[in-house]
Amino acid sequence: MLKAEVIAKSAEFDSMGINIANEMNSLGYKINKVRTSSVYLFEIDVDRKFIEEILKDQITDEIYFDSKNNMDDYLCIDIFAKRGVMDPVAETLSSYLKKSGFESGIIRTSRRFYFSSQKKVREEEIIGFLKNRYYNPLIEEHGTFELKKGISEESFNLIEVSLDCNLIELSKKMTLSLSKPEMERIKDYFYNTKKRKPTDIELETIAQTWSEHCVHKTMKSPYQYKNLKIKNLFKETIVKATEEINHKDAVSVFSDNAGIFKFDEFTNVCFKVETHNHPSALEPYGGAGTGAGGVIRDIIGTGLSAKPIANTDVFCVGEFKSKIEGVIEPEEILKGIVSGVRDYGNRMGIPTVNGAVCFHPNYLGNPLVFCGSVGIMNSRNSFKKVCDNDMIVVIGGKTGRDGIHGATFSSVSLTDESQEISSGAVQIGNPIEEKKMLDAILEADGLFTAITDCGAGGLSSAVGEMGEHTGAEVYLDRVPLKYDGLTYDEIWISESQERMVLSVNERNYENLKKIVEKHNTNIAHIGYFRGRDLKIYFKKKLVLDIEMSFLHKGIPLSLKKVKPYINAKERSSKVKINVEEAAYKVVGHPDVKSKEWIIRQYDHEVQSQTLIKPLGGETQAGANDSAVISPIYKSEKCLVLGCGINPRYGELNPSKMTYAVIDEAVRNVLCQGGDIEHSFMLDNFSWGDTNKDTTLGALVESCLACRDYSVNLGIPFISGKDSLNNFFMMKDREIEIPPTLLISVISVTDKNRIRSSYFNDSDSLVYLFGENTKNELLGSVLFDSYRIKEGTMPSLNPKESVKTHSLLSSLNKTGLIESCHDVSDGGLLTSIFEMSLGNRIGCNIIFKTKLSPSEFLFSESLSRYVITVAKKNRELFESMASGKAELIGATNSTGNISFKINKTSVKFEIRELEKVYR
Amino acid sequence: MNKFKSLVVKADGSNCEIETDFILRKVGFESDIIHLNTLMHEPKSILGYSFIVFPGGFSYGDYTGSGRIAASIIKHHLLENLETFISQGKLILGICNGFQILVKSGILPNSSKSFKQEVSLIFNDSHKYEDRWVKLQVSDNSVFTKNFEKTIYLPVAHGEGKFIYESNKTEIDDLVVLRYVDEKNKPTMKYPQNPNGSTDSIAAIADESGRVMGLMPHPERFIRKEQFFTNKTEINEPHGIRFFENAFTYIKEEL
Repeated sequence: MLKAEVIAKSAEFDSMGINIANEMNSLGYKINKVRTSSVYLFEIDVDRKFIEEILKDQITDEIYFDSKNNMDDYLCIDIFAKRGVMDPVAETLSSYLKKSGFESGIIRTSRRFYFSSQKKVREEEIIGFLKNRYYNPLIEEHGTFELKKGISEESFNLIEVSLDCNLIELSKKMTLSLSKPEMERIKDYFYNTKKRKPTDIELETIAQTWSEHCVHKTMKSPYQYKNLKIKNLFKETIVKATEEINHKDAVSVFSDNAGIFKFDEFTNVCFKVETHNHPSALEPYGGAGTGAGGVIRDIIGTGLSAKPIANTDVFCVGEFKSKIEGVIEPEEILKGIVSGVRDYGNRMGIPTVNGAVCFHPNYLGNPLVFCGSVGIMNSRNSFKKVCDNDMIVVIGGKTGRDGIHGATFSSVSLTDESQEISSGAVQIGNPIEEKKMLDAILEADGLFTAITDCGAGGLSSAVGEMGEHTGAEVYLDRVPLKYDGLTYDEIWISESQERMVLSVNERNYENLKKIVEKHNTNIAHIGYFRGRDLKIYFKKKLVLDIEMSFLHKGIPLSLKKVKPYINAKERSSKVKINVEEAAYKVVGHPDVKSKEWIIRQYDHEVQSQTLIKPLGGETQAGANDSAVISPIYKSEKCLVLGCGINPRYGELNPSKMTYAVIDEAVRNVLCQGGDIEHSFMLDNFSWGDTNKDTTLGALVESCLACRDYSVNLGIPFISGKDSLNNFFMMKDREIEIPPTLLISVISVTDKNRIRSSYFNDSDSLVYLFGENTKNELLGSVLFDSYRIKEGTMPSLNPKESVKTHSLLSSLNKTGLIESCHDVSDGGLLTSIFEMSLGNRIGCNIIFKTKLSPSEFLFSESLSRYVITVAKKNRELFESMASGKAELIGATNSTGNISFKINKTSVKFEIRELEKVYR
Repeated sequence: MNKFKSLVVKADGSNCEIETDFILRKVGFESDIIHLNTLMHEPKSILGYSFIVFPGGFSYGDYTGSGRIAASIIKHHLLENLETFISQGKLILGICNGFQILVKSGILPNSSKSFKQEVSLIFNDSHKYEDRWVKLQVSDNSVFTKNFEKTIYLPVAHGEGKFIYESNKTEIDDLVVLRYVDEKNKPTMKYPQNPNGSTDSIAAIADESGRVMGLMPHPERFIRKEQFFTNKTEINEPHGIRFFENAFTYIKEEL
């Protein structure tokens, strides 16, 4: 055995140690110094010179093999991955050593922390600090760091499960998350059709396939809502809208891993957004990272594979400084998920270009993580078809015991014990493994007939789905494993990351294998698509034998009788708040405040295709409403990506929230120069407790609103996803998230139409464009800041709003608009401030209105934009804006923004507001 | 032999090879992207090129320190041929992770001529990965940095970009080609203009010959005017292209 510790020669080279010490002292720990190091254990003694070269920096590091360092006075704590948890460092080292001809055996790595303090520091206290910041007990441990031997292979026993018992208890015991009617259907199938008991792997497979996560049974169920009878909620609302619109550029909708639409004559683009809520609550870094990794694989697995070109992320977390037992604090959750998405996206070389963060007290126990990815593909690669007798091929990472039961786990509520008991459901990603796999797949264009990713449910879902029409025969012993000792059902349902399943014609296999091996990744031929049924063998024994038709069509869907959501009562009330004081509160509100600390950590420019970035202007702090990507250098076309989300509205009135967030997403895209006629939408529902009839009522109301506004806008849904049962069970009560709908819009537009959101000329006219400003402050940032709960919510008339958006879309073609930002969270004053910040250009707004100044400046009425136009173009613009634009002021070079509303005048220095905003 | 052949060296986890290859072609090179796995078996093949670029990314995940494993592969398999390549008067450029690889394999600055690591790039003072645009002062100490204005703008995106050195200051001073500057165009230690805390504000260095250079900013990400982060400052051309054009011109005239 060989042990190596690498530590910086002097504290100045240990920026992590310095940062931890600062963090601890700011929290009241009395710490003098923190040092960090990396410790490596190798089962077999490897050439030390070689090891030194790959671990130690000649300028800054020392390496210790047997000798001890001189850190005896420090308290020393090792943090290392639990057995079976992915350790990307060990995996990379092991593969490189092997390639260089060294046999190292098992490698384990640890992060070591040293603490010194005047007073004696107690280990428990330090662990308390590290926990959930630098150490997650779910996947890591502390204590004596030593090499553990692999477990030897257990003998193989096929387990049959009797269904003559309490079926609900069995479902719980096996974490199947199946209902009583579903369990009874299964019993009927095995006992009456197959005339035998099911095996454990058969039950697991059905549970995975029938899980909410895989089949979306709640969305596809029949509903009774008031007098309305719905046969299939999803088909009669979301899909129906898309069918009615029948967009000529929609290529593949709701059928593949992502929705596909036309970009230009030769190229299509696909877009998908996924949720990864429950894993992120327990292990924010790993949960969010694998969320990003998963949606990227969705793109790689769309059609005959697309190349990911941009990522998006939206997070919903509890309010900072709030805390309950058994959950990670919101601030640490947010830091963790940001790091997870950052490390996955950055390492994969995909720019993260658009997103949002919202806060609401009810996300405290159940945060939401939405990860999106956009891909580009040759048009001819848009469709896949598995052929009879194609080989089933797995490529990418090896299979381990990580992430057992993720799909079924994601369908149940979280409790204060989840962090202790659900360790199996969380995985850690290795983005480099996925990058190698991506590079191999892109190079292997044409060598496979279908492809899909191993996501929730692992091989069971991927093979089950691909083989629906052909049948599949799988030999589990052929799956490459990380270590011995996995049982057959573990191999089959493991959610080890970074794997894809391909169907390959036998004649192409050798070529594919060469390419995959060149990229240092794994490939295995594990079976054939044939025989109509699903048959799984392990060590020559048949362990699973189910008809595909039962697997895919057997699930019973029962009628859901639901009740309307109890909307907030609205009542008009006059609002008179001191504008100056309110401005600082609103601009400093967590939902409005700059997200620069997050955005900077993302590489938003890799691939060199990003034109409009999340932040810009001279200050590099001017927020843009959406991002613009130009994936083909020579093409005149580009893509605009934006989103809308609002949990405050969702809690008050899910239907109005739905209109509002669709409106917001559309506005964001049009601000940057988008084209409403070439736009496409994604829906992501994150909903609460589906056992509550009003929660399901809210789902129906939201779906109906989606259908209505989508049809009016002519913007079809092309893909979506729902995540249900987002609530947290405490011993005495349940915290249910507000109905949350994320709408993402992507638009194909001409490059010459794009522009930034902030002012770029100090001598332009400022217009308020679109619908009228009304006293609509219920649910607004202003009311949230003052805890006011009485008023009227923003609502819209779809026909009128569409007129506004269409007009802006056609104005986008004229080049008359210099800059454009929508009015949303925080109202007009916030919009004007954000526009002024990019280049610190001031403006003077003068307006007379029936509303009070605070109503006018902070109302969040929908379908409104702020637009600037050069003075010389005034007449032309006003004639084209046909009554939708009102001149409200002009930009200037004072460095101030000032407002005169009726008789009230207020003035702000941009730099003063910036202090609370940034 | 076509002397305008360039090679982009890819490793597991490289992620800027495609855009780097793109700009090389755009300025006139016939460019190939080849994986280190292939090159380690055919090390002589690099001599068929005039210009080698190590692109950005996270080679081998940077899991044991940025660029370290890639540097190890280079030292064990390619060094001899790289030495010949350099002695033939040819060009090498390392961008971001490529700069880290060049530094850690001792190819840059190689003042000792013995390919020992002499300088390093370590974690940013913030200990965070950061993407932002920086203003840089340019010196023409390398063949890549001729005919520039005094200052240019480029984006940086890295977690380990803090430049440090052990040797004496004057020796390094002659090798510096880019420095982070403030709004008054003075080299700065102020954050965020100096985004990582680099000693003497150093963002890029070249070897004595000026033919081997490494930089933390990404020139391949500023090849179209629309990529510029602001529309308030006037620019004549996107500042990233000239690095590659200069390489082409040098090969055309001097090789």
